[in-house]
Amino acid sequence: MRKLELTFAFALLAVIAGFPLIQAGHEAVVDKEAPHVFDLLRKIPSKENLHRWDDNSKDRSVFAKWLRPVTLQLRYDLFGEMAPKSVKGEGDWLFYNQDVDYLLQPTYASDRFYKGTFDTLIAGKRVNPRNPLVAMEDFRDRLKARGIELLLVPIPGKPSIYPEKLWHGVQGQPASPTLALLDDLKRRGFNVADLFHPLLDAKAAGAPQLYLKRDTHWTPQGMEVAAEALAGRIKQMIPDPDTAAALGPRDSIVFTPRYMIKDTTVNRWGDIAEMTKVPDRRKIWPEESVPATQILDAKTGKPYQDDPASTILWLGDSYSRIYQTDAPGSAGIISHVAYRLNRPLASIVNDGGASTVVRQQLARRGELLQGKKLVVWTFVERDLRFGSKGWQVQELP
Amino acid sequence: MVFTEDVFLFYFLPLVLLVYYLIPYQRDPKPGKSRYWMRNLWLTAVGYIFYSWFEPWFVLPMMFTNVADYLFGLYLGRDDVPSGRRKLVLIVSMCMNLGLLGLFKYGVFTQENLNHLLAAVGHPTFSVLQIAFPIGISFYTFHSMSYIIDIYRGERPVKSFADFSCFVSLFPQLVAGPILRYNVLSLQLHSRTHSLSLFSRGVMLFFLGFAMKILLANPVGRIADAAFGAQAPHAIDAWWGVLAYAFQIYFDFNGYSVMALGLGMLFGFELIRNFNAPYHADSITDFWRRWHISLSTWLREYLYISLGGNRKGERRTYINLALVMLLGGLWHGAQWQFLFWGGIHGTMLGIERWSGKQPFYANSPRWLRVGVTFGVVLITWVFFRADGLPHAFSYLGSMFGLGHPGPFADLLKAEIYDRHDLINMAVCAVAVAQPFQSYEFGKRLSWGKFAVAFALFLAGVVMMYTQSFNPFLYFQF
Repeated sequence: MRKLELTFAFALLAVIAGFPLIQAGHEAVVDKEAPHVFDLLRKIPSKENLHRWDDNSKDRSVFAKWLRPVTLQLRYDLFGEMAPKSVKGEGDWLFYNQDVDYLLQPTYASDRFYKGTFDTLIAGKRVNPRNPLVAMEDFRDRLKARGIELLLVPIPGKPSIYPEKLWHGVQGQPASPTLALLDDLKRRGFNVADLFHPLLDAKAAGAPQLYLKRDTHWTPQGMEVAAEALAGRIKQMIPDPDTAAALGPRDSIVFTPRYMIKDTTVNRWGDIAEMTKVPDRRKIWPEESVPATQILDAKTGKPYQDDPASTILWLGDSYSRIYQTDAPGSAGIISHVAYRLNRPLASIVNDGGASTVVRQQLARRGELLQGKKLVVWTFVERDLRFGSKGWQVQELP
Repeated sequence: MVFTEDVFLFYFLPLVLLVYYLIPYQRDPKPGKSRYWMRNLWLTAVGYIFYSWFEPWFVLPMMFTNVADYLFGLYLGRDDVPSGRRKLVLIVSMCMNLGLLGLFKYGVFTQENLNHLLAAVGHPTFSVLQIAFPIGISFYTFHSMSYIIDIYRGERPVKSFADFSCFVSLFPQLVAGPILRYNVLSLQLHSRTHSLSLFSRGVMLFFLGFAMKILLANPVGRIADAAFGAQAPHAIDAWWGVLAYAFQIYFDFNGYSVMALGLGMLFGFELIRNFNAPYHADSITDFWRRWHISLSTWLREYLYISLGGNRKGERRTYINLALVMLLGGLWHGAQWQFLFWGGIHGTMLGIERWSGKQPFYANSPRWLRVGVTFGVVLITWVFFRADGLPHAFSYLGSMFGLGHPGPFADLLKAEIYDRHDLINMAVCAVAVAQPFQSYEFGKRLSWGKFAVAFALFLAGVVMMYTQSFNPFLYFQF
C-alpha cells in the first residue's frame, strides 16, 4: 500500500514540479533567457501585470506548444471537434460562430442585449453605450454639422445568405434581424443601403456561390453584387458631374472610363478553416479557387489606388479588405464601387474594427474629412452585437 | 487564480507545497499555541496571494473582515463579558459582514430596483454606481460569520491570528467552498495529521476533480451557453440546453469541491464533502441532502435553527423553511431569478414536509421518483442560468412549446448537436448515472484506480491547453 501511496504522491509532484522545471530549463538553455517566472518579481503585482504574466506564461509554455496541436488534431480525428470559433456546416462548409450567434441571440431591441451594461449620460441623455443606434446617430449628427452625408451599410454575414449550408433543416430563406434594423434606421431618417435583397435575389437567380465555403467573407461574385447595389445607392445620394459620368453595369460602358478590368483567379484557404486550428486543416479542406476581377487605372494600367481627396470616404472592415489589399489586390469592394462610380474613393479599413475603431482612426486623421460629401460606413452585421470595442461615441476633430 | 490553469498547477501549487513541508512544526507547543502556527501563517499568506490574483485590491475587504472578526472573537471568548454586550458584539460583527456582502454583492441590485421603483412613481432615476464584485466574498463571509456565531454559542476562540486567518483564507476552499463551519476546522488548525495515506487520497481526489471540470463541465458548458444565448430556441433544443447546464453546473461545482477536498488533504486538512450524487435524489428533500451539502448545513445550523427551526410550531416551521430557501437563493446572486429558484425549492420542500418528508410521487418506482425529481431540478436550473427573470420565463416557455422560435432558430442545432456534443453529453450522462462517487472512489486506493485517475488527470492537463479561460461557475457567487 505504501508503494501505491508513494506512486500517487510522486505522480502529482512529477507533473506539477516537472513541468515548470523543464520549462525553466528550456528557457535558459534553448531560448537563452532568464526563466519568465522571474518576470513576476520585476513588476508591480497589479491585475494587468499578473494577467499579462499569465497570458505570457501560456504562450511561452513548451508543453502548450507541443500539446496543443497534437490534441487539436486528435480531437478532430476522433470526434470531429474544432476550436469553438468555427461551426461545422453541411458538407465542407464552415461558419464563424459569431456570425451564427448574431442570428440566434437577442438584438439591440431586446433588454437581454444590454445585460451587464449600464446606462450612461451622453449629451445630457441617458443611453446605453452598447446600443449601436446611439453611436450611429451621434456620428451622423457630427458629419451633418460638417455638411457630410452618412450612408450606413450593414453587410450580411454568410449564414444570413446561406443558412441551409449551415443546417440542412432550415425552412425557406429566413430574414436576418438586420433587415428590421434597416427599417428602424430608415424611420429614424438614416440613409441606408440594403445588400441583403440584392444578394438573396442573386442567389435565387442561380448566381455562382456568393460566399466562400470556409471563409467568413463573400466571393468576388458576391462582392460584385454588393458593389453594384451600393454604387447605385451612392449615385442616388450624390448626383454630381462625376456621378453622371459613372459606369453602369460592367457590360454597358458608354463613356470614357477611368478604370479598366482584368480577370484573374483568387485562391483562399479560408479564415474559418484557420480558426479551427486543426493542424492538418490544409490537408482536410482544399484551397478554394474563385474568379476575380482586378480594377486597374485605364491610363497607367496600375492597380486601383485610393484618393484621399475624394468626395467619398469609405469606412469598412475585412469585407472591404478582402481582394482589395489581400491577393489579388485592387479587386475588392472599394475598387469595384470606385469602378462603377468612375472615380476613386478615400478609405479607412480595419479588420473587425468597423463599429468603433475606424471612427477612432478617422478622429486621428481628421484631414480626411475635408472636402467630403459622403461617408459610406460599412460593417458586417455581426458587429452589431460583437463589434470590437462596441459602439462607442467618438468625437471628431 | 483557478485550480485548472497552469499558473496554479505548475507554479503556485508546487511552490506552496515545497515551502509548507519545509516549514518546521512544534512537537510540543506551548499551551494554547498551535503546533502548526508557522505553516498556518504560510497558508494564510499564500491564500492572500491566491485571492489577489483575481484583483489585488480584493484582499482589502477580506483582510478587514479577518482582523475585525478575530478581535470580535477574542472579546466574545472572554469569560467576563456580560451577555448583553456579547449579543451587541455579535450583532456588530453580523452587520459588518453582511454590510460588506450587501455593499459589494447587492449594491447594484438595490440601486437598480430603486430606480425601477422611482420610475414607476414617475420620479427621475439616477445613474447606477457600478461596484466591483470581489470573487468568492459570499464564501469567506460565511466562514467568518460561522466563527463568530460558534464563539457566541460557546466554542473557544483561537488565540493565534495565523490560525484564524488560515481558517478564512485557506486557499482550497476560499472562493467556492465547501463552506466550513469553524467547529469543523478548529481542531485541525491546531493539530492535524500529515500522512502519506492522506496525501495520496488528496492526490486522487484532485486528479478526479480536475478531470471533472476540464473533461466534462467545460465541453457541455458550450452547449448550455449556446442554448441559453439564443433568442427563442425550439422546445427540444431548450431541453437539451438545460440538460447540458445541469451537467455543467454539477461537474463544475462538484469538480471544484472535490479538488478543494483533495488540496486540503495535501496540507493535512479534512474538509467536508459537498456533493453526494445529487441527481440520484428521489425527492427535493433528498436533493438538498446531496447538493451543496456545506451550504445547506450552514443555512440549517446558522439560519434555520436561529429562526427557531421546527421548534415553534408547524406554521412557523414552514415560514422558516421558505425564508431559508429564499435567502439561500439570494445568497447565490443579487437577482430576482435566484429568489425564484430558492422559492421553488422552498415550496417543494414545504410540500414534501407537509406530506411527511416525501414527494407526492413517493409511491411510484424509484426510477420514476428520481426522474421526476431530476425534471423539477432541471426546471429550477433555468432560473439559475437565465439572464434575468423575463429570460427565465421565456426559456421555460420555449421548453414547453410556448415560445416563438425565431426564423434562424434551426441554426442552433448546428452549434449544439455536432458529433462531439453528442459524445460529451453521453459521457456526462453515464458519469452522472453510474454509482461510483469520487469521494468514495478516493477512499481506498488501488493500482487500477491510480491508472484511471492519473490518465484522466493527464488528459485534463492536455485539454487544459486547448480550452480558453473557464472560471468556475460558483466564483460568481
